[in-house]
Amino acid sequence: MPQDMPPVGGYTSVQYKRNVPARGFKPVYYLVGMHMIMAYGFYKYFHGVREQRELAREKIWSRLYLTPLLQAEEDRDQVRRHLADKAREKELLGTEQKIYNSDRFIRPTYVYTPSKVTQ
Amino acid sequence: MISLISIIEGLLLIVPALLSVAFVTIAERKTMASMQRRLGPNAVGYYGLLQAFADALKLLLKEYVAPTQANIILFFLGPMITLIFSLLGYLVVPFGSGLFVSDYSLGMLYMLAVSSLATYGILLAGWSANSKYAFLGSLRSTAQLISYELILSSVIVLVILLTGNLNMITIIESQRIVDFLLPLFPLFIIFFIGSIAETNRAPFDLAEAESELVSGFMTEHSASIFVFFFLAEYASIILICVLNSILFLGGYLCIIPVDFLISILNTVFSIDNSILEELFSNVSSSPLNLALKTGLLIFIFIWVRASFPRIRFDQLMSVCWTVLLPLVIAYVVLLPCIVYGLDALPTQILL
Repeated sequence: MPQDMPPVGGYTSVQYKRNVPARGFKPVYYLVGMHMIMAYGFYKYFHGVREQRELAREKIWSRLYLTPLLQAEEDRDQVRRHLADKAREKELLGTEQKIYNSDRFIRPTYVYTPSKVTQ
Repeated sequence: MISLISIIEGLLLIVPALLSVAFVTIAERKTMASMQRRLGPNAVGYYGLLQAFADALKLLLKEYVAPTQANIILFFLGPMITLIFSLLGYLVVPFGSGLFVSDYSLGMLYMLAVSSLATYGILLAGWSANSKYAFLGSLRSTAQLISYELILSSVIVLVILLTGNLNMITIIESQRIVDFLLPLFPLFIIFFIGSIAETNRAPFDLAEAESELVSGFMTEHSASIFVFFFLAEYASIILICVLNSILFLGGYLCIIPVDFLISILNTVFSIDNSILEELFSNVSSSPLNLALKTGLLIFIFIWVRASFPRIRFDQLMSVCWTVLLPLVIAYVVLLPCIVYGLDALPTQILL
Protein backbone atom coordinates (compact mmCIF):
# COMPACT_ATOMS: atom_id res chain seq x y z
CA MET A 1 0.00 0.00 0.00
CA PRO A 2 1.57 3.25 -1.09
CA GLN A 3 2.09 5.63 1.74
CA ASP A 4 0.55 9.08 1.67
CA MET A 5 3.40 11.30 0.66
CA PRO A 6 3.51 14.95 -0.38
CA PRO A 7 3.15 15.43 -4.11
CA VAL A 8 6.31 15.70 -6.15
CA GLY A 9 7.60 19.23 -5.90
CA GLY A 10 5.83 19.86 -2.61
CA TYR A 11 2.46 21.39 -1.76
CA THR A 12 1.42 24.63 -3.35
CA SER A 13 1.49 27.64 -1.07
CA VAL A 14 -1.61 28.45 0.92
CA GLN A 15 -2.86 32.01 0.98
CA TYR A 16 -3.22 32.54 4.70
CA LYS A 17 -3.12 36.35 4.62
CA ARG A 18 -6.58 37.82 4.32
CA ASN A 19 -6.98 41.06 2.46
CA VAL A 20 -9.39 42.69 4.88
CA PRO A 21 -9.72 46.44 4.46
CA ALA A 22 -8.45 48.36 7.48
CA ARG A 23 -11.25 49.96 9.48
CA GLY A 24 -11.17 52.73 12.06
CA PHE A 25 -8.34 55.04 12.98
CA LYS A 26 -4.68 54.22 13.03
CA PRO A 27 -3.69 52.35 16.21
CA VAL A 28 -1.52 55.24 17.34
CA TYR A 29 -4.60 57.48 17.61
CA TYR A 30 -6.23 54.99 19.97
CA LEU A 31 -3.03 54.88 22.02
CA VAL A 32 -2.87 58.67 22.22
CA GLY A 33 -6.59 58.94 22.96
CA MET A 34 -6.34 56.42 25.76
CA HIS A 35 -3.51 58.32 27.36
CA MET A 36 -5.38 61.61 26.94
CA ILE A 37 -8.21 60.07 28.96
CA MET A 38 -5.65 58.96 31.54
CA ALA A 39 -4.11 62.42 31.64
CA TYR A 40 -7.51 64.01 32.26
CA GLY A 41 -8.20 61.44 34.96
CA PHE A 42 -4.93 62.16 36.72
CA TYR A 43 -5.56 65.90 36.43
CA LYS A 44 -8.88 65.45 38.24
CA TYR A 45 -7.31 63.03 40.70
CA PHE A 46 -4.49 65.47 41.48
CA HIS A 47 -6.92 68.25 42.34
CA GLY A 48 -9.12 65.85 44.30
CA VAL A 49 -6.19 64.70 46.42
CA ARG A 50 -5.24 68.35 47.02
CA GLU A 51 -8.75 69.05 48.27
CA GLN A 52 -8.74 65.91 50.39
CA ARG A 53 -5.50 67.01 52.03
CA GLU A 54 -6.87 70.49 52.63
CA LEU A 55 -9.94 69.03 54.31
CA ALA A 56 -7.77 66.76 56.44
CA ARG A 57 -5.58 69.72 57.44
CA GLU A 58 -8.66 71.75 58.33
CA LYS A 59 -10.03 68.92 60.42
CA ILE A 60 -6.79 68.45 62.35
CA TRP A 61 -6.36 72.17 63.00
CA SER A 62 -9.96 72.64 64.06
CA ARG A 63 -9.45 69.88 66.59
CA LEU A 64 -6.22 71.48 67.77
CA TYR A 65 -7.95 74.84 68.23
CA LEU A 66 -10.90 73.25 69.98
CA THR A 67 -8.74 71.38 72.48
CA PRO A 68 -8.24 74.29 74.98
CA LEU A 69 -11.95 75.09 74.92
CA LEU A 70 -12.93 71.50 75.62
CA GLN A 71 -10.26 71.24 78.31
CA ALA A 72 -11.54 74.41 80.00
CA GLU A 73 -15.08 73.10 79.98
CA GLU A 74 -13.94 69.84 81.50
CA ASP A 75 -11.94 71.68 84.19
CA ARG A 76 -14.93 73.85 85.14
CA ASP A 77 -17.06 70.74 85.42
CA GLN A 78 -14.42 69.06 87.55
CA VAL A 79 -14.23 72.03 89.93
CA ARG A 80 -17.99 72.27 90.24
CA ARG A 81 -18.30 68.61 91.07
CA HIS A 82 -15.39 68.77 93.49
CA LEU A 83 -16.92 71.69 95.41
CA ALA A 84 -20.35 70.07 95.41
CA ASP A 85 -18.79 66.90 96.73
CA LYS A 86 -17.06 68.81 99.49
CA ALA A 87 -20.30 70.52 100.45
CA ARG A 88 -22.21 67.25 100.47
CA GLU A 89 -19.52 65.65 102.63
CA LYS A 90 -19.62 68.52 105.11
CA GLU A 91 -23.37 68.26 105.32
CA LEU A 92 -23.26 64.53 105.96
CA LEU A 93 -20.22 64.29 108.22
CA GLY A 94 -20.20 67.74 109.80
CA THR A 95 -16.47 68.22 109.18
CA GLU A 96 -14.27 68.26 106.18
CA GLN A 97 -12.28 65.06 106.31
CA LYS A 98 -9.42 64.04 104.12
CA ILE A 99 -9.60 60.46 103.02
CA TYR A 100 -6.09 60.38 101.56
CA ASN A 101 -3.06 60.61 103.78
CA SER A 102 -1.51 63.26 101.53
CA ASP A 103 -1.71 66.95 100.72
CA ARG A 104 -1.44 66.30 97.05
CA PHE A 105 -4.54 67.00 94.97
CA ILE A 106 -6.02 63.76 93.86
CA ARG A 107 -8.30 64.01 90.90
CA PRO A 108 -11.61 62.50 91.91
CA THR A 109 -13.37 60.09 89.61
CA TYR A 110 -17.04 60.64 89.01
CA VAL A 111 -19.21 57.89 87.70
CA TYR A 112 -22.29 58.91 85.84
CA THR A 113 -25.28 56.67 86.44
CA PRO A 114 -28.72 57.10 84.97
CA SER A 115 -31.41 58.24 87.36
CA LYS A 116 -33.61 55.27 86.58
CA VAL A 117 -31.80 51.97 86.42
CA THR A 118 -33.86 49.36 84.63
CA GLN A 119 -31.44 46.50 84.16
CA MET B 1 -30.03 36.43 69.81
CA ILE B 2 -26.90 37.92 68.29
CA SER B 3 -26.13 34.68 66.46
CA LEU B 4 -29.72 34.59 65.16
CA ILE B 5 -29.34 38.12 63.83
CA SER B 6 -26.09 37.22 62.11
CA ILE B 7 -27.72 34.16 60.56
CA ILE B 8 -30.55 36.35 59.27
CA GLU B 9 -27.98 38.83 57.97
CA GLY B 10 -26.21 36.06 56.11
CA LEU B 11 -29.46 34.80 54.63
CA LEU B 12 -30.45 38.32 53.60
CA LEU B 13 -27.24 38.41 51.59
CA ILE B 14 -27.08 34.84 50.26
CA VAL B 15 -30.70 34.42 49.16
CA PRO B 16 -30.77 37.50 46.91
CA ALA B 17 -27.31 36.55 45.61
CA LEU B 18 -28.56 33.10 44.59
CA LEU B 19 -31.76 34.58 43.16
CA SER B 20 -29.73 37.01 41.07
CA VAL B 21 -27.66 34.05 39.88
CA ALA B 22 -30.87 32.38 38.69
CA PHE B 23 -31.99 35.49 36.86
CA VAL B 24 -28.55 36.10 35.34
CA THR B 25 -28.71 32.65 33.74
CA ILE B 26 -32.11 33.43 32.24
CA ALA B 27 -30.92 36.90 31.20
CA GLU B 28 -27.95 35.33 29.49
CA ARG B 29 -30.08 32.86 27.58
CA LYS B 30 -32.57 35.51 26.49
CA THR B 31 -29.86 38.01 25.50
CA MET B 32 -27.86 35.47 23.54
CA ALA B 33 -31.06 34.27 21.91
CA SER B 34 -31.94 37.72 20.65
CA MET B 35 -28.36 38.24 19.47
CA GLN B 36 -28.69 35.04 17.45
CA ARG B 37 -32.24 35.81 16.29
CA ARG B 38 -33.87 33.07 18.31
CA LEU B 39 -36.62 33.26 20.89
CA GLY B 40 -34.84 31.62 23.78
CA PRO B 41 -36.72 30.13 26.72
CA ASN B 42 -40.30 31.39 26.64
CA ALA B 43 -42.47 28.57 27.95
CA VAL B 44 -41.92 28.41 31.71
CA GLY B 45 -43.51 31.32 33.51
CA TYR B 46 -44.24 34.68 32.01
CA TYR B 47 -41.67 35.49 29.24
CA GLY B 48 -39.72 32.39 30.28
CA LEU B 49 -38.69 34.00 33.55
CA LEU B 50 -39.01 30.83 35.61
CA GLN B 51 -36.88 28.70 33.30
CA ALA B 52 -33.91 28.80 35.69
CA PHE B 53 -36.02 27.43 38.55
CA ALA B 54 -37.39 24.68 36.32
CA ASP B 55 -33.82 23.75 35.34
CA ALA B 56 -32.69 23.75 38.96
CA LEU B 57 -35.64 21.57 39.95
CA LYS B 58 -34.86 19.13 37.14
CA LEU B 59 -31.20 18.91 38.17
CA LEU B 60 -32.04 18.46 41.86
CA LEU B 61 -34.50 15.66 41.13
CA LYS B 62 -32.09 13.78 38.90
CA GLU B 63 -30.30 10.69 40.08
CA TYR B 64 -26.70 11.46 40.84
CA VAL B 65 -24.09 9.06 39.59
CA ALA B 66 -20.71 8.92 41.27
CA PRO B 67 -17.94 7.01 39.47
CA THR B 68 -17.07 3.82 41.31
CA GLN B 69 -13.35 4.57 41.41
CA ALA B 70 -13.85 8.16 42.53
CA ASN B 71 -12.71 9.52 45.86
CA ILE B 72 -16.25 10.15 47.03
CA ILE B 73 -15.54 12.65 49.82
CA LEU B 74 -13.40 14.92 47.68
CA PHE B 75 -15.76 14.38 44.76
CA PHE B 76 -18.56 16.02 46.72
CA LEU B 77 -16.33 18.43 48.61
CA GLY B 78 -14.94 20.06 45.45
CA PRO B 79 -18.19 21.67 44.22
CA MET B 80 -19.08 22.68 47.76
CA ILE B 81 -15.72 24.43 48.26
CA THR B 82 -16.13 26.26 44.96
CA LEU B 83 -19.64 27.45 45.81
CA ILE B 84 -18.83 28.42 49.39
CA PHE B 85 -15.77 30.44 48.43
CA SER B 86 -17.51 32.20 45.58
CA LEU B 87 -20.34 33.17 47.96
CA LEU B 88 -17.94 34.23 50.74
CA GLY B 89 -16.68 37.04 48.54
CA TYR B 90 -20.04 38.81 48.91
CA LEU B 91 -19.30 39.35 52.59
CA VAL B 92 -17.21 42.48 52.17
CA VAL B 93 -19.11 44.08 49.30
CA PRO B 94 -20.64 47.45 50.21
CA PHE B 95 -23.94 47.51 48.31
CA GLY B 96 -24.90 51.03 49.28
CA SER B 97 -23.91 53.74 51.66
CA GLY B 98 -23.89 51.90 55.00
CA LEU B 99 -25.32 48.74 53.46
CA PHE B 100 -22.82 45.95 54.07
CA VAL B 101 -22.36 42.82 56.13
CA SER B 102 -18.77 43.49 57.08
CA ASP B 103 -16.75 46.70 56.90
CA TYR B 104 -13.47 44.82 56.91
CA SER B 105 -10.38 46.99 56.83
CA LEU B 106 -8.56 44.48 54.60
CA GLY B 107 -11.58 43.80 52.40
CA MET B 108 -9.71 43.82 49.12
CA LEU B 109 -7.11 41.37 50.41
CA TYR B 110 -9.87 39.12 51.77
CA MET B 111 -11.61 39.09 48.42
CA LEU B 112 -8.41 38.16 46.57
CA ALA B 113 -7.71 35.38 49.08
CA VAL B 114 -11.22 33.93 48.88
CA SER B 115 -11.32 34.03 45.10
CA SER B 116 -8.00 32.19 44.87
CA LEU B 117 -9.18 29.51 47.30
CA ALA B 118 -12.07 28.66 44.96
CA THR B 119 -9.46 27.21 42.60
CA TYR B 120 -8.91 24.35 45.07
CA GLY B 121 -12.49 23.21 44.60
CA ILE B 122 -11.92 22.84 40.86
CA LEU B 123 -8.64 21.01 41.41
CA LEU B 124 -10.19 18.64 43.97
CA ALA B 125 -13.25 17.94 41.85
CA GLY B 126 -11.18 17.23 38.76
CA TRP B 127 -8.70 15.00 40.53
CA SER B 128 -11.13 13.05 42.67
CA ALA B 129 -13.38 12.00 39.77
CA ASN B 130 -10.63 9.58 38.67
CA SER B 131 -11.26 10.36 35.02
CA LYS B 132 -8.66 11.59 32.56
CA TYR B 133 -11.04 14.12 31.01
CA ALA B 134 -11.94 15.67 34.32
CA PHE B 135 -8.32 15.69 35.46
CA LEU B 136 -7.00 17.35 32.32
CA GLY B 137 -9.90 19.80 32.39
CA SER B 138 -9.14 20.77 35.96
CA LEU B 139 -5.44 21.23 35.17
CA ARG B 140 -6.24 23.53 32.27
CA SER B 141 -8.76 25.43 34.31
CA THR B 142 -6.42 25.84 37.26
CA ALA B 143 -3.55 26.98 35.07
CA GLN B 144 -5.82 29.59 33.51
CA LEU B 145 -7.19 30.81 36.84
CA ILE B 146 -3.77 31.11 38.46
CA SER B 147 -2.30 32.95 35.46
CA TYR B 148 -5.09 35.49 35.18
CA GLU B 149 -5.27 36.03 38.93
CA LEU B 150 -1.78 37.48 38.68
CA ILE B 151 -3.05 40.15 36.31
CA LEU B 152 -6.08 40.93 38.43
CA SER B 153 -4.04 41.33 41.60
CA SER B 154 -1.43 43.49 39.85
CA VAL B 155 -4.16 45.83 38.62
CA ILE B 156 -5.66 45.93 42.10
CA VAL B 157 -2.25 47.05 43.40
CA LEU B 158 -2.55 50.16 41.23
CA VAL B 159 -6.03 50.91 42.51
CA ILE B 160 -4.65 50.57 46.03
CA LEU B 161 -1.93 53.05 45.05
CA LEU B 162 -4.59 55.67 44.27
CA THR B 163 -6.71 54.97 47.37
CA GLY B 164 -4.05 54.13 49.93
CA ASN B 165 -6.44 51.76 51.63
CA LEU B 166 -7.60 48.16 51.33
CA ASN B 167 -11.08 48.84 52.66
CA MET B 168 -13.77 48.55 49.98
CA ILE B 169 -15.78 51.48 51.29
CA THR B 170 -12.72 53.73 51.27
CA ILE B 171 -11.97 52.61 47.73
CA ILE B 172 -15.48 53.63 46.67
CA GLU B 173 -15.55 56.88 48.62
CA SER B 174 -12.19 57.97 47.21
CA GLN B 175 -13.80 57.76 43.78
CA ARG B 176 -15.95 60.74 44.67
CA ILE B 177 -12.98 62.65 43.21
CA VAL B 178 -13.05 60.87 39.88
CA ASP B 179 -14.01 57.34 38.86
CA PHE B 180 -10.82 55.33 38.51
CA LEU B 181 -12.05 54.40 35.04
CA LEU B 182 -10.47 57.66 33.82
CA PRO B 183 -6.97 57.62 35.34
CA LEU B 184 -6.69 53.84 35.01
CA PHE B 185 -8.47 53.45 31.67
CA PRO B 186 -6.17 50.83 30.03
CA LEU B 187 -6.00 48.95 33.31
CA PHE B 188 -9.79 48.75 33.43
CA ILE B 189 -9.77 47.09 30.01
CA ILE B 190 -7.05 44.68 31.11
CA PHE B 191 -8.91 43.96 34.34
CA PHE B 192 -12.10 43.31 32.44
CA ILE B 193 -10.38 40.88 30.05
CA GLY B 194 -8.75 39.23 33.05
CA SER B 195 -12.06 38.88 34.82
CA ILE B 196 -13.64 37.24 31.78
CA ALA B 197 -10.78 34.74 31.80
CA GLU B 198 -10.94 34.35 35.58
CA THR B 199 -14.58 33.29 35.44
CA ASN B 200 -13.92 30.76 32.65
CA ARG B 201 -16.22 32.54 30.22
CA ALA B 202 -16.19 32.56 26.44
CA PRO B 203 -13.91 33.33 24.59
CA PHE B 204 -11.66 31.96 27.33
CA ASP B 205 -13.83 28.98 28.28
CA LEU B 206 -11.31 26.33 27.32
CA ALA B 207 -12.05 24.33 30.43
CA GLU B 208 -15.45 23.41 29.07
CA ALA B 209 -15.52 24.21 25.38
CA GLU B 210 -18.93 22.72 24.72
CA SER B 211 -18.54 22.15 21.02
CA GLU B 212 -15.00 20.78 21.19
CA LEU B 213 -14.38 19.02 24.48
CA VAL B 214 -16.31 17.10 27.08
CA SER B 215 -17.30 19.39 29.87
CA GLY B 216 -13.91 19.83 31.51
CA PHE B 217 -13.38 19.37 35.23
CA MET B 218 -17.09 18.71 35.81
CA THR B 219 -17.31 15.83 33.35
CA GLU B 220 -18.30 13.29 36.01
CA HIS B 221 -20.47 15.63 38.06
CA SER B 222 -24.20 15.50 37.59
CA ALA B 223 -27.48 16.38 39.30
CA SER B 224 -27.25 18.43 42.48
CA ILE B 225 -23.46 18.70 42.67
CA PHE B 226 -23.49 20.01 39.13
CA VAL B 227 -25.92 22.67 40.36
CA PHE B 228 -23.26 23.68 42.89
CA PHE B 229 -20.70 24.25 40.13
CA PHE B 230 -23.26 26.09 38.05
CA LEU B 231 -24.24 28.38 40.90
CA ALA B 232 -20.59 28.98 41.79
CA GLU B 233 -19.77 29.93 38.22
CA TYR B 234 -22.53 32.50 37.94
CA ALA B 235 -22.07 33.77 41.49
CA SER B 236 -18.42 34.46 40.67
CA ILE B 237 -19.45 36.23 37.45
CA ILE B 238 -21.73 38.57 39.37
CA LEU B 239 -19.12 39.03 42.09
CA ILE B 240 -16.39 39.94 39.64
CA CYS B 241 -18.71 42.39 37.87
CA VAL B 242 -19.46 43.96 41.24
CA LEU B 243 -15.71 44.12 41.88
CA ASN B 244 -15.16 45.76 38.50
CA SER B 245 -17.74 48.41 39.26
CA ILE B 246 -16.36 48.98 42.76
CA LEU B 247 -12.77 49.34 41.62
CA PHE B 248 -13.28 51.39 38.46
CA LEU B 249 -16.84 52.68 38.11
CA GLY B 250 -17.33 54.06 41.60
CA GLY B 251 -19.45 51.29 43.14
CA TYR B 252 -22.63 52.69 44.65
CA LEU B 253 -21.82 56.31 43.78
CA CYS B 254 -24.16 57.93 41.30
CA ILE B 255 -23.10 58.12 37.65
CA ILE B 256 -24.69 61.53 37.22
CA PRO B 257 -23.15 64.23 39.44
CA VAL B 258 -26.21 64.95 41.57
CA ASP B 259 -24.92 68.24 43.01
CA PHE B 260 -24.42 69.53 39.50
CA LEU B 261 -27.93 68.46 38.51
CA ILE B 262 -29.45 70.12 41.57
CA SER B 263 -27.58 73.36 40.88
CA ILE B 264 -28.82 73.36 37.28
CA LEU B 265 -32.41 72.72 38.38
CA ASN B 266 -32.06 75.44 41.00
CA THR B 267 -31.38 78.02 38.30
CA VAL B 268 -34.77 77.22 36.73
CA PHE B 269 -36.88 76.75 39.85
CA SER B 270 -36.01 76.32 43.48
CA ILE B 271 -36.00 72.69 44.53
CA ASP B 272 -34.46 73.15 47.97
CA ASN B 273 -36.36 71.19 50.63
CA SER B 274 -38.62 69.73 47.97
CA ILE B 275 -39.35 66.07 47.34
CA LEU B 276 -37.07 66.27 44.30
CA GLU B 277 -34.04 67.14 46.40
CA GLU B 278 -34.87 64.30 48.78
CA LEU B 279 -35.10 61.94 45.84
CA PHE B 280 -31.77 63.06 44.41
CA SER B 281 -29.97 62.76 47.71
CA ASN B 282 -31.33 59.23 48.12
CA VAL B 283 -30.31 58.23 44.62
CA SER B 284 -26.80 59.67 44.98
CA SER B 285 -25.50 56.66 46.93
CA SER B 286 -28.18 54.02 46.62
CA PRO B 287 -27.64 50.33 45.79
CA LEU B 288 -29.45 50.95 42.50
CA ASN B 289 -26.31 52.58 41.11
CA LEU B 290 -24.23 49.49 41.86
CA ALA B 291 -26.96 47.28 40.38
CA LEU B 292 -27.06 49.36 37.20
CA LYS B 293 -23.28 49.29 36.71
CA THR B 294 -23.05 45.58 37.50
CA GLY B 295 -25.93 44.82 35.15
CA LEU B 296 -24.21 46.70 32.37
CA LEU B 297 -20.97 44.77 32.92
CA ILE B 298 -22.83 41.44 32.99
CA PHE B 299 -24.46 42.41 29.71
CA ILE B 300 -21.01 43.04 28.25
CA PHE B 301 -19.92 39.60 29.52
CA ILE B 302 -22.82 38.04 27.60
CA TRP B 303 -22.21 40.21 24.56
CA VAL B 304 -18.56 39.12 24.47
CA ARG B 305 -19.65 35.50 24.72
CA ALA B 306 -22.02 35.91 21.79
CA SER B 307 -19.51 37.80 19.64
CA PHE B 308 -16.02 36.34 19.87
CA PRO B 309 -14.74 32.95 18.74
CA ARG B 310 -12.94 30.78 21.26
CA ILE B 311 -9.14 31.06 21.25
CA ARG B 312 -6.64 28.23 21.55
CA PHE B 313 -5.18 27.28 24.91
CA ASP B 314 -1.61 28.28 24.01
CA GLN B 315 -2.95 31.61 22.73
CA LEU B 316 -4.77 32.06 26.02
CA MET B 317 -1.59 31.49 28.00
CA SER B 318 0.59 33.62 25.76
CA VAL B 319 -1.90 36.51 25.87
CA CYS B 320 -1.68 36.37 29.63
CA TRP B 321 2.08 36.02 30.10
CA THR B 322 3.51 37.84 27.09
CA VAL B 323 0.95 40.58 26.42
CA LEU B 324 -1.16 41.48 29.42
CA LEU B 325 1.39 40.89 32.16
CA PRO B 326 4.19 43.02 30.59
CA LEU B 327 1.62 45.78 29.99
CA VAL B 328 0.43 45.69 33.57
CA ILE B 329 3.98 45.63 34.90
CA ALA B 330 4.84 48.62 32.69
CA TYR B 331 1.95 50.51 34.32
CA VAL B 332 3.02 49.26 37.75
CA VAL B 333 6.35 50.98 37.08
CA LEU B 334 4.90 54.09 35.42
CA LEU B 335 1.96 55.05 37.62
CA PRO B 336 3.77 55.28 40.97
CA CYS B 337 6.24 57.61 39.21
CA ILE B 338 3.35 59.83 38.05
CA VAL B 339 1.62 59.80 41.41
CA TYR B 340 4.83 60.48 43.29
CA GLY B 341 5.94 63.08 40.76
CA LEU B 342 2.65 64.98 41.06
CA ASP B 343 2.93 64.62 44.83
CA ALA B 344 -0.58 63.16 44.76
CA LEU B 345 -0.28 60.29 47.19
CA PRO B 346 -3.63 59.97 48.99
CA THR B 347 -3.86 61.23 52.54
CA GLN B 348 -4.14 58.70 55.33
CA ILE B 349 -6.27 60.91 57.55
CA LEU B 350 -9.73 59.48 57.13
CA LEU B 351 -12.39 62.10 56.76
